[in-house]
Amino acid sequence: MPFVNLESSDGDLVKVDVDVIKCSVTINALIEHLGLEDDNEVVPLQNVGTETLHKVLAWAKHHKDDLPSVDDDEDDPPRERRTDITTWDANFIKMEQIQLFDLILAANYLDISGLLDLGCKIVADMIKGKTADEIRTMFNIVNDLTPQEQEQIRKENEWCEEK
Amino acid sequence: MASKPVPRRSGRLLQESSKTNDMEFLPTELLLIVLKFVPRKELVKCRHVCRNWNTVITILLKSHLPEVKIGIGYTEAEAKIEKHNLKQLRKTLDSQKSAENFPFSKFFFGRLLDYAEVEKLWQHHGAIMEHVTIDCHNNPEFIEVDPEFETDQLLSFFKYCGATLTTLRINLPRTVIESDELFPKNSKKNQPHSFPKLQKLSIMSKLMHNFCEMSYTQIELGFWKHFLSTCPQLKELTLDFDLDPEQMTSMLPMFTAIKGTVANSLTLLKINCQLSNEELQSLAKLGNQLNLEAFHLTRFHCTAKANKLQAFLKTQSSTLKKLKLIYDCYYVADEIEFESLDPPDFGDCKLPEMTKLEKLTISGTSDGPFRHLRAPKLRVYNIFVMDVATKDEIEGMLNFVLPLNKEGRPQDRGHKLEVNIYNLPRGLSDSDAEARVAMCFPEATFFTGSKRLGDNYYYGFE
Repeated sequence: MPFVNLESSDGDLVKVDVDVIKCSVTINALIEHLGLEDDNEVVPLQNVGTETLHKVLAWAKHHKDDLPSVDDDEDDPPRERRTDITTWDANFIKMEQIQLFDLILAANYLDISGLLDLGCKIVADMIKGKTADEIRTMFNIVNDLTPQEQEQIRKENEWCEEK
Repeated sequence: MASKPVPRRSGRLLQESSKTNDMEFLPTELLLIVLKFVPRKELVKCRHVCRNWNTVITILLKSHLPEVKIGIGYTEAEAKIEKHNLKQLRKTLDSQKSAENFPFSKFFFGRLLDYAEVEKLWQHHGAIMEHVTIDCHNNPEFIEVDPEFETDQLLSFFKYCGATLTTLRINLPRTVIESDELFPKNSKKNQPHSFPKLQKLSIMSKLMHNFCEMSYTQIELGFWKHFLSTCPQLKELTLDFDLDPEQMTSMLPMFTAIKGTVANSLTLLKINCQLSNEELQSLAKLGNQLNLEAFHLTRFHCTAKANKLQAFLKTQSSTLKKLKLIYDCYYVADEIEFESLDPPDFGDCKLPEMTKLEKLTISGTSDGPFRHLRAPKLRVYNIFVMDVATKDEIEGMLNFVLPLNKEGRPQDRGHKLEVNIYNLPRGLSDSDAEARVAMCFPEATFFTGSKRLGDNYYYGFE
């Protein structure tokens, strides 16, 4: 079984089964283009810390046999299963907000769509049911909208179908 | 590579830095992904968070498309409200520096009571409308409405909005179908209408009432030829027609029209209609010009000759990625007699290997034409189990894609196959169906029961 060595931004080396990390489009492309045949070859990941890298690999290992997704038709029956988060994933993703954001950034950098979606869904869940004020507090966001802009948004929202 | 590396954001440093902007949250490209998972209703509220969020959400809403609904009232009082709303909408639009700032490009036009005001809206702001649904028949009293009025609405709409439309769903007023006013012949004054950007066209023509006396036999070849010849970009075509059972030839002009116009650009064709043998034959001939990636045929009539459909599928076997065939058994069961419930008889006819097929959805009481189907890339297989299906029949449907080995386990295909088994609303109880299928294929995924799938899904597209 071929392996690849990943180097985290903290300088730690992690030996990974190519089959596990194939979910990463970034690394897959690297392996294909550069033909990393030598087991001693090192891929530096300047944007992923050791702690985050281990999390990514844990997720990748658990999901390595998943089906590739097939685009769904709009007229397909509702599939709640697809949007639901599995128990394993739900336990996996229980972490501090700051770690969660690091994980999302890593998933984006490594181009692992399943993990990126999972992280983003969790953040979306944090947003759901909150007022704009609560969202700003939760994520340290400053409201830079002028009163005029806010009034404009209010007017436009009147035309949304769900009033 | 799809992903652009994002500069590392150091958590520790950021905690110490001042709270200035939302870049502390996540980069904009990731905010976009997060917000895609937030329901539309909440999303609208989130526009108030800050300027960056508002910008991102405005972009999202344009693609996610909340719908502006106009003209769904029936009474005088509702007409008043509609008039008021229309004026307000126009004022809002007029106040924009550019119509492109208006976040909603999806519009629904129903029975319009205040046509003059709507026409002003189209005239001034038609250019922002990309996705439009026109359902002139959503008023149960529609038969009393002056038919000329509906034709005029459409003429005006095409004139002002045609240039920007990318998606059009239309429930045609019946009079238009007989009319050549939309595409005037040899007229110097009236420019023919055209839809240069139109990619998705869905035409509905529904018999809404039992007492309806008009039939749809008047669908003119000329009309469709003109219509389709003005849509050079058309990729997806949905034909959702209720045809008069006495006049089963009505779809022929449509197939002929496709042949001379958009056949080369079409990648998806959905037909929700009972097709006669003659129509199926016409479709098979049309198939030589088509290179479809997706084909749906629902309400496929039991009495139709299966070999005609087979001939069509043969022409598409090298390009199809998705195939859906749903037999119209319940219609027959209700209206005629129960014995007719057998699916079309495909005999022993074989289909060529479907080299690209990834997704197959079928219904029936046996595996029919798919008994010998070779689809090496199949990944999703949906089965609608008829309530009269026996255990043997269900096993038959499963066995051809999931042949069992000596140990009674599915043979390895080299990749996983997702199997979804749907039971129909009036069919078995959920537990019965599950028990039946579980006996022959323990790993199948179930979506059973009427809660998930209503008649509408089974018969229609929505």
